[in-house]
Amino acid sequence: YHVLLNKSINMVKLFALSVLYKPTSDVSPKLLKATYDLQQFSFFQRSSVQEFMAFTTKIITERCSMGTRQSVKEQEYMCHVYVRADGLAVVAVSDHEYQYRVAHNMLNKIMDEFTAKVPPHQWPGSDETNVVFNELPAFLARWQNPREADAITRVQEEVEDTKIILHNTIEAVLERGEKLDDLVNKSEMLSLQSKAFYKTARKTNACCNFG
Amino acid sequence: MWRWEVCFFYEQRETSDMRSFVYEQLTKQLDDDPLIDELGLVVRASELLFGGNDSKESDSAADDGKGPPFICREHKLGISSWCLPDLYRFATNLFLSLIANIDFKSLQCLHNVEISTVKEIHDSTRIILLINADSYRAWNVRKFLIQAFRLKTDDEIRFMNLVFSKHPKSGEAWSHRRWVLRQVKDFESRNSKQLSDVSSQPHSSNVDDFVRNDHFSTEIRICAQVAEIYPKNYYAWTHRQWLVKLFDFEELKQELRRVSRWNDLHVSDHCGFHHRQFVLLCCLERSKLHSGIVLKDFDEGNSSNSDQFHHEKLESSEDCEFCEIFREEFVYLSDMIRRYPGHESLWCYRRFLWSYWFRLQIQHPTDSDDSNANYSPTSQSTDSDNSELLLKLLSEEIEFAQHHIEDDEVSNFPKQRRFATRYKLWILHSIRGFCSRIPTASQFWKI
Repeated sequence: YHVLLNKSINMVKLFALSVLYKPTSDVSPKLLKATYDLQQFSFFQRSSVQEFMAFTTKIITERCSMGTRQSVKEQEYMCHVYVRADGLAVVAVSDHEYQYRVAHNMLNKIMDEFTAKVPPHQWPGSDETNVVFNELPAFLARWQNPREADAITRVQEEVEDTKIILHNTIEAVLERGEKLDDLVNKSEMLSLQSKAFYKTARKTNACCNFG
Repeated sequence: MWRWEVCFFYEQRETSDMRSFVYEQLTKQLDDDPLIDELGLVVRASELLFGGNDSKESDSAADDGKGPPFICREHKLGISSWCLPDLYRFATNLFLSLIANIDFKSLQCLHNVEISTVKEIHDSTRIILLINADSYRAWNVRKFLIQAFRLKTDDEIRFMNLVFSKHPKSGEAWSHRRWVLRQVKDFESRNSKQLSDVSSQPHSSNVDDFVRNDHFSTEIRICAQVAEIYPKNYYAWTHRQWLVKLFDFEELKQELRRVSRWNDLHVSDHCGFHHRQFVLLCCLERSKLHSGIVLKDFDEGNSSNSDQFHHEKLESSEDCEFCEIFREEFVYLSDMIRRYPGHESLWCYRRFLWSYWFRLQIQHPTDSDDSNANYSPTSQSTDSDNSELLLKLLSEEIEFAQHHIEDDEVSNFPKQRRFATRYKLWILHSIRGFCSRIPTASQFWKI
C-alpha cells in the first residue's frame, strides 16, 4: 500500500468518500455512490490507488457490525466507517493524521444528507448507476482541511471518543484465517496492474526508485 | 499517444533493433511533446491504453507480449518497466561513444562538434537521466551544452521538473539545478546584490518585483510540489532555504504565509516547521535584534550574561514588525496545538519559538498587554520591572503546558499529555539559571 500512496505520509487529507448499503450483516455491501480526490498521486498510479481504496472500503464495511463506528489504520492511511442500524454505511479514506473524530462528524453529516436526498425505500433497488446524489465531491472538498472543518463542526454534535472503535491494521478486522494477500489475489475489483503493484510493494517494502 | 502501427512494428523486430527502436521512439515522443511534465513507471502499459478490467483479452495478450514500451497521455509519460534495462544500456553506450572523442577540458570543446552529434548527446543524456537521475557525468556534459548555448536554461529547468516527478531525492539533480539557476541572469544579479548589500539597508525591491520575478515563484512552487511527492525530502527543503536566504523582509513574510498553508496540511512534518524556523531566523537577521540575542543557556554563569538585562530601544520598524510576527507565531502555534493534539512537531517548534521569544524579551522587553505596539520601554524601566514581565511570560507558558496536560477530552490525549509534560519540564530546566537570580521565581519549582 505505501508504495501506491507515493509516501505521502504526513499529509492531512481526504482521499475517498463512499456511501454503501448493507441491509443485514451477512450481505455483501452494495456501493451507492463514491467520489475520489487522487490528484497528489502520480498519474499512472491513480487507477490502482482508486481500485485499492474501493477494495478496502468494501472489505471494511463487510466486517463492520451494524450500528458501529470504526477507524482502521493501515500504514499511512485510515479508513473511517459508520454502518448505521438501518443498513446505510458511509466510509471515508483519509491519511493517518486526519482526526478521526472530525472524520466521524463528517460521516454523520453525509449520512443525514444522503437520507434526506435519497429516501430509504429506494436503497434496496438502487446501485451506482441510478443513484442521484451529487453532494459527495463538495463534502470531500470542504472537509479536506480540518481547520475549515472545525468551523463546520459544533462541539455538542461531536461524536464521543468512546463510541469509535480503533484498529491499528486491516488484519485486525479480518476473520480468523483470512489473509489480506489472499483477498487481494481473489478480488475481481483489482486489475492485473494493481495486483502487480501490490506484490511489488509487499516484496520490496521500501522506497525503491522505480515505483 | 502511442501510434497503432507502431504496436505492430515492434513485435516484429529483432532484439538489437528493438533497443534502438524504443530509444528512437521515446526520443521522438519527448521531442514532439515539450509539455510532458510527469514521468511514471508502469507495469502494464497495455491496460492503461486499452482500459482496465474491461478488456480481459488484452490482459492475456499482454502476458505473452509485454505491451508497449511506453505510453503518453495528457502530457504524462509512463514507461514500462520491462524495457528499462535495455533502454538504459543502449543510451549509455551511445552517450559514451559520442563523448569519447571530445576533450571536456575547455568551454570551447563543443564548438567544433557537429550539431547532429550535439543533439544526440542531448538526447542520450536525457534518456539516461530520466532513468537514473544520479548520473553525474550526464549532468556535467549537459552543463557544457548550456555553456555552449546549445541548451537553454529554461528548457533545462523544465527537464529537471520532469526528472523530479520521478526522482525527487536525487542529490545530483538538485545540485545541477542550483548550477543552472546561477546561470540565469536575473537570478545571478539578485544573488550578487544580496551578497554586497548590508542587510540593514532598506531594500528597493518590493512585493511587485517579487511577483514579476518568475523564476523565484517557480522555484518555490517546485520545492513545495516535490516535497509533496516525497515528504521529508531534505534536498527539496534545502533548496528552498537556499532561495529564502536571498529574500528581503517583505518576501520573507510572504514565504511565512506560504509555509503556513503547508503546515496546515502537514501537521506532523518536522521539515515544514523547521523551514518555518529558518524563515523566522532570516527575519531576525534582517533586523538589528540579532546582535543582542545570545543563545546560551541561562545557567551558565558567564560574565557575558550580566548584560542580559541591559535594555535596548527598538529602533527600526522592521524590529517592531518582527516582534509582531513572533507574537502572531505564538497565536498560530497555540491554535495548532489545540486543533491537532498529540503532534510532536508542534511542541518541538514551540521550544524554538519560546527560547527565542524569551531571550528577545530580556533584551527588548515589550509590554504584552499593549497590543498597539508601544515597543520602546520607558526610561524608568528597571531590572525588577523587567523580571516581573519575564516571570509573567514564564507563568503564562507553564499554564499553557499545564492546560494541555490536564485536557483529557481531546483525541490523542495520552500523546498530548506526554509532549506537554516534557515541554513543561524543558522550560523549567532551561530557565533554571535565570530563576536562580530572581527569588520569586522559586514558585515554579513547587509545581
